[in-house]
Amino acid sequence: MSRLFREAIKLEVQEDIQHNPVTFLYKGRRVGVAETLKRWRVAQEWWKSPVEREYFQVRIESGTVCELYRNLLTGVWYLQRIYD
Amino acid sequence: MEARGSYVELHCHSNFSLLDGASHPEDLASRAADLGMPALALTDHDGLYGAIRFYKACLKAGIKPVIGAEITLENGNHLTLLAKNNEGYSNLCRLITRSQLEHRKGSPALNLATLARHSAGLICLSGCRQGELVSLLISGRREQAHRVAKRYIEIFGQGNFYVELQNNFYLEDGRLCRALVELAGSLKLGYVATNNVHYARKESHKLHDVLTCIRNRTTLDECTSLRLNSEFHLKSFAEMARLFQNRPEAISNTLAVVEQCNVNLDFSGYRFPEFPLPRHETAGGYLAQLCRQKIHERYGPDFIGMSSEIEARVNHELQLIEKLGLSAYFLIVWDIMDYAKRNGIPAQGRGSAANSIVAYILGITGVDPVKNKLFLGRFLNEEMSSIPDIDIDVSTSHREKLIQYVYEKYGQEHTAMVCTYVTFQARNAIREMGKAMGLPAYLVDRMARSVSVYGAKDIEQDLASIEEFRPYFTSQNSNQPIWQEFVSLCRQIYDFPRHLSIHNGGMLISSCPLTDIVPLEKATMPGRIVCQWDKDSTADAGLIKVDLLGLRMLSLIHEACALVEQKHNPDSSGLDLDRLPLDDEKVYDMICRGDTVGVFQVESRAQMQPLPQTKPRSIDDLTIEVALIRPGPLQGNMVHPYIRRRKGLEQVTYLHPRLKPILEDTLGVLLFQEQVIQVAVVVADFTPGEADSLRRAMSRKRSKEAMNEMRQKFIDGAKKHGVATTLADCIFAALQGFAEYGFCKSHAARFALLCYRSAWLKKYHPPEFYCALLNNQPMGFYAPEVIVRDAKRHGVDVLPADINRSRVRCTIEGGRVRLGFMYVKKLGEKAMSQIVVERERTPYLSLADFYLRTRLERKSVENLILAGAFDSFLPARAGLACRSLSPAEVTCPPGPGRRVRRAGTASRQADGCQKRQLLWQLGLLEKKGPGELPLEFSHTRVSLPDFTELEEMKVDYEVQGLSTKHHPMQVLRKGISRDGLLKSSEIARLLPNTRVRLAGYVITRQRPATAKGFAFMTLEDEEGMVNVVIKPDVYQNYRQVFKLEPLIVVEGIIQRRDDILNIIAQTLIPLRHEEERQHGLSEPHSAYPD
Repeated sequence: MSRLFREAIKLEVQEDIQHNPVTFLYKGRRVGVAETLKRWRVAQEWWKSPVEREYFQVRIESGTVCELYRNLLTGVWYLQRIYD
Repeated sequence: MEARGSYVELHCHSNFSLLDGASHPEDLASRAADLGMPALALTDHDGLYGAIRFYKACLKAGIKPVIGAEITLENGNHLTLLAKNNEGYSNLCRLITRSQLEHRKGSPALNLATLARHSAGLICLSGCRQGELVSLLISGRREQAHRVAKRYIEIFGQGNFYVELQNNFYLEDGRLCRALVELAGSLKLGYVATNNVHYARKESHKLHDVLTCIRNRTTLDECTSLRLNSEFHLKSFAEMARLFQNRPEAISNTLAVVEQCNVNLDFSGYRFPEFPLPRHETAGGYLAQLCRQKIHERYGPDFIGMSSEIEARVNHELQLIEKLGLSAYFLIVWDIMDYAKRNGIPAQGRGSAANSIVAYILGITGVDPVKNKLFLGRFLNEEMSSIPDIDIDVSTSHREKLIQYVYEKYGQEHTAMVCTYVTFQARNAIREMGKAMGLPAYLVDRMARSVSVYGAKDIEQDLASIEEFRPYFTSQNSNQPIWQEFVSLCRQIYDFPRHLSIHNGGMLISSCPLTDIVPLEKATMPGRIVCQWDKDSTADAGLIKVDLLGLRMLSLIHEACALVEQKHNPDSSGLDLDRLPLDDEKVYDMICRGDTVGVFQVESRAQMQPLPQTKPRSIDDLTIEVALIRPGPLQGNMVHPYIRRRKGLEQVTYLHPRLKPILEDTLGVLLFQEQVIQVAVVVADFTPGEADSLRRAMSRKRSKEAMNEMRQKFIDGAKKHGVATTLADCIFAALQGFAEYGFCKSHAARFALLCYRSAWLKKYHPPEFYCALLNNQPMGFYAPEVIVRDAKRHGVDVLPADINRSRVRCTIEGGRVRLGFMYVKKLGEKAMSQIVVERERTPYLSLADFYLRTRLERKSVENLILAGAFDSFLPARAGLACRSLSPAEVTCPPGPGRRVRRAGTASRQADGCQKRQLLWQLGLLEKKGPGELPLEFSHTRVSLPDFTELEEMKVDYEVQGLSTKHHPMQVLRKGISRDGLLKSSEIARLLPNTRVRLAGYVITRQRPATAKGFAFMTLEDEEGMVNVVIKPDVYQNYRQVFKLEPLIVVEGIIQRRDDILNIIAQTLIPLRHEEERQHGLSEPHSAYPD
C-alpha cells in the first residue's frame, strides 16, 4: 500500500552535483536518502501544459520508501508518494 | 581509435525511418562529431534509404560511418544489425529485400531461416524494448530469453552477438539492464550500451511526437504511443558513462564493435552490365561498327563514307566515349531505343544527349547536332567525373512496355526502378502538422491554401504577412503559443521524407545482382519493385541509371495521329509526322496569335504572351521560343532584350566581338546552356570540361569563395584575349544571371519539333487533337474544363458521357468529342470496362436495365446519372415518373430473341425522366437483391423538379470536374445585374487605358519567383479568356482573394502591347461578394465549383 498525495507536497531538497536528492526537509525534520531504488523521467503534454519531471523512488534512512520528483522546468522538488 | 573517454552510438534512427526519426542523417553525423564520437551507426527501420547520405555526411564530418538497420522479425520483434564489411552489407541488403518483398507493402518482416542464411559479415545487437530478449525479460520469462539468446549465438556466432543495454530513464530500465547483464554473463556474451536514438538533439522530441501522430493518423491528445520522455537523443560520452557508471564495458564495447565495422559504399566498379556482343568484338568496336552501318539512315543513301565535319565529329566522339569507358552505356541506350522503334513506341532522347552525333546516328536522338550547331562539350568532355545522362522521353501510355523490355533484357535481379522520397513541403507540412496537433481544420486548410512559399522554412513569415492569420503569429499574442510551436515544427519538418514513391522514369541497371548493393521493396503500383535509393543516392554510389521519362505529349501525338488515320483511311500505313514539312504558314499564324492552349511548351500564360511579339515563323524560331520563358533567361533579364531585338526596336550588340559567333542566332542574348560553355571556352580559355563545371556550379548554390575563385579564373583567362577586367566581370555576371535554369539547345530543338507537331494537329485536325488531349490528362497547364471550352471555341463540340456510346477513353463521334467514362468520378477501371463489355452484348435500354445487368455500386451509378450518361434515353420533362421494367423483362436474361421487343419498349420510356427522377428510380432499384422481382413503380407518380442550370453545373463539376453545357459565368451572370460588368469579348474591343470591370472564372493563377512580386491570373468567361496582371502592392491587399477565390470580379485598366491585352488590376473582389452586395445577402455562397 502507499499514500499518494493528490497534490504533491513541495519539498526543500539538498541535491548532489548531478541533482540526486541527498536529504530533504519533511514536516520540519531533515530526512536523509539512503538509497535510490528507481529513477525515471517524463516529458509530456508539451503542446498544452508541459510536464517535465525526474522521479526518484528512494529509501530514506528510516527504511521508508518515498517517491520524489524534481520539476525539470522549475527545479522545484515535490513529494508524491509514501509507501507503507 | 581512442578507447577511453569515447562512446559511439550504435542504435540510431534518422528521418529515413519514415515518420519515426526526427533528424536528417546529416544532422546526426554532425551532432555526433560535435559530441566527440569517433563514429556513428545508422540503423533505420527495415531500410537503407538514408545510407548513402549518412555515409557521405559522416566522411564530411570526419567520423566513421557504420551502416546498419533495425530489422523487424516475423514475430514483430526488432533486431539491430550492423555491417562489419561489404559481405555483411550485401547480406543486409538481401535480408531487407526479402523482408520487404515477401510481405505486404509497408509491413516488412523477416523469418529466422532467411536471417540464418545471410548472417555472414553482420554484427547483431539484441535490440530495443521491442527486441525479443527484452520482451521476454519484461514478462519474467528468463529461461526462454536464454534460449532465444542461444539461437542468435548459433546464427551470428558468439563474437558477433551483443546484448544491447538501454537506459532512457524509463521506470523499468535499471531492472532490465541488470537482467540483461546477468543473461550476458551466463552466456559469456559481450554487451553494449545504446540510446535508441530517434533525434540528434533533445529539443527535437516534440517533432518526434508529431511524426508519431502522423504515422498513426491521430492527434497529440489522442495518441497512445508517444514516448514517455525526451531522452532518445544523441548523448555524449559523459552522459552515457554516467548512465552506465556501474558497467563501463558497455561503453567501451561500442568502440570494439566499431573497430570491426568497415564498409565501403562506392559501387562505381559495378556499374555497367555486360552488353551481349558478337564474338571477338569489344563494346567500343561494336559501337563504331554500328555508327558506320547507320550513318546512311541519318544522312541519306548518298552519304559516301564519312567525310569532312561529320567524319571528324564521329571519330572524335567515338574516341571520347571509349576513353571515358562509356561504350557499353551507349549500346545499352541504343538497344532500348532500337526496341522502341521496332515496336512502334514513340520515344526520343532528351536533354544534352542530343549534342552527340553518335546518339543521333544511332537513333537515340532526333536532332542533327552538326546541322543545328550543337556543342558536344555540354554532353561529353574529357574531364567528366560522372556519367553523362542519356534520358529518354517515351510516350506515357507505352512506357510500361519499354520498362518491361529492360527488365527482361537484363533480368529482374539486375534491374529496378529508382525511388523518390515524397517530402514535407509547405502545404503538406501545414496540413499534417495542423492535423496532428489538433488545430482547427478549417483554419489549417485556409493556411495551406494561402501559403505562397514552396519550402516549409519560411512558413511563419509568409503566413504572418496575411492579415487574417497575423494574430496567430505575433509575438505579443501569448494566448497562442501553440501556433508558435506549429510554425516552428513546420520549419523543422521541412524536407523530411514522408514516404516512398516511384521515380518518374529512373531505371537502375547493374552488372551484379542489385540486392548486393541496395535493398529492393514493393512500390504502390502492383508488381512494381523499387530500390530504396533515390536518384541522388544512386548517382553518389556510382551506379548507372537510364531515365525513361513518360512524356504525355508523345502519347497525345501518337493517339491523335491514329485517330486521324482512322478517320481518313483506316487501311493506310499511317500519318508520318516525321515527314511533315515544318513551314506551314497557317500553323505559325495560329501560334503567333497565341492560340496555343494544348500546344506543347508554348501554352502557358507566360509562354503565350511573347508569341504575338516575337512572331516565330520557323522551327529555329520555335526552338528559341521554348527556351525563352525559363527561369534562366528570365532571371538573367534576357527575355525583354530578345523580344525588343526581335521586333527591331533595339540594335543587336555584343559585349565583345568574340561573342558574336556564339550568340548571333539568339540576337546577342544568352538563351542556351551550350552558349554558357562556349563563352567560357572562347572568352576565358576554359577547357570544355572546366566550362561545363562552371555551368554546373552556377546552376547550384555554391559558396561565395568557390564562385569568386571561378570568377578570378574567368577574368584571368579573358585577359589573355585582351578582354578588360571590368568587361570580363560583366560577361561573367551575365553567365551567372542566366545559369539558374535554362534549356540546352539540343533539348529545346527537340521540344520545338513536338511544339510544331501538336500545333499542326490542333490546326488541321482539331477533333482528334482535343480528343487525344482530353485522354492524356494531366499534362499541361490547363484543367480539362478549360480544354473543353477551348475546343468549343474552335468549333469542336464536346458531348457528355453516354451509357450506350462512350468508351473508357474519349472518342470521336461525327467530328465531335464524346467524353469517356474516365471522366466520371468514382467509377473505377473495373466498372468502366464492365459497362462496355456488357453493352457489347446488347445495348442498355434503361436505367433499370443497366442497373440490373451491371449491379454497380450506388455511387457509381449516381455519378453516371448526374454526369448525364442516361440523358439520351429520355428527354427531360418535369413531373413524370419513369417506367420500370416488367418482372418478365428483368428475370429473363437478355438474348437475341428478346432484343427487338425490348428495344421497342424502350422508346416508350422516353417521356418525362430527368436526373432527379432517375436518382429516385435508382433508390428503388437498389432495394432489391439479385434475382428478386423489381418493385413496380410504373404507377407511382411523383413530381420532382428539374435541376436548375446552377444545380446542373454544380453537379457536373462534382461528378466530372467540368461541364460540357454550362460555363460558370454564363450561369452566374444571370443572378447579378450588369452593373458595369463587361464580358471578355466586349473588353477586347476597348481602347488601352480604359477602366473596366469584369467577372470571370479563374483558370490559372501564378506568382512566379522570377516575377519580382508580380502575380498573374487568367480569367475566363463564357466568351473567352483575359489575362490579369497584379502588381505587388495590389497583390498584398488582395492576396487571399487571388489565392482562394474561384470566381473574381476585377477592376482595372486595359493595357495593350502588340496584340496582347492585359488588365492591370486595381481591385479583386470575390464574385460572391458582388452577388451579396447586389442582393443584400449575408450568407456566403457555397454553390461554386472549387
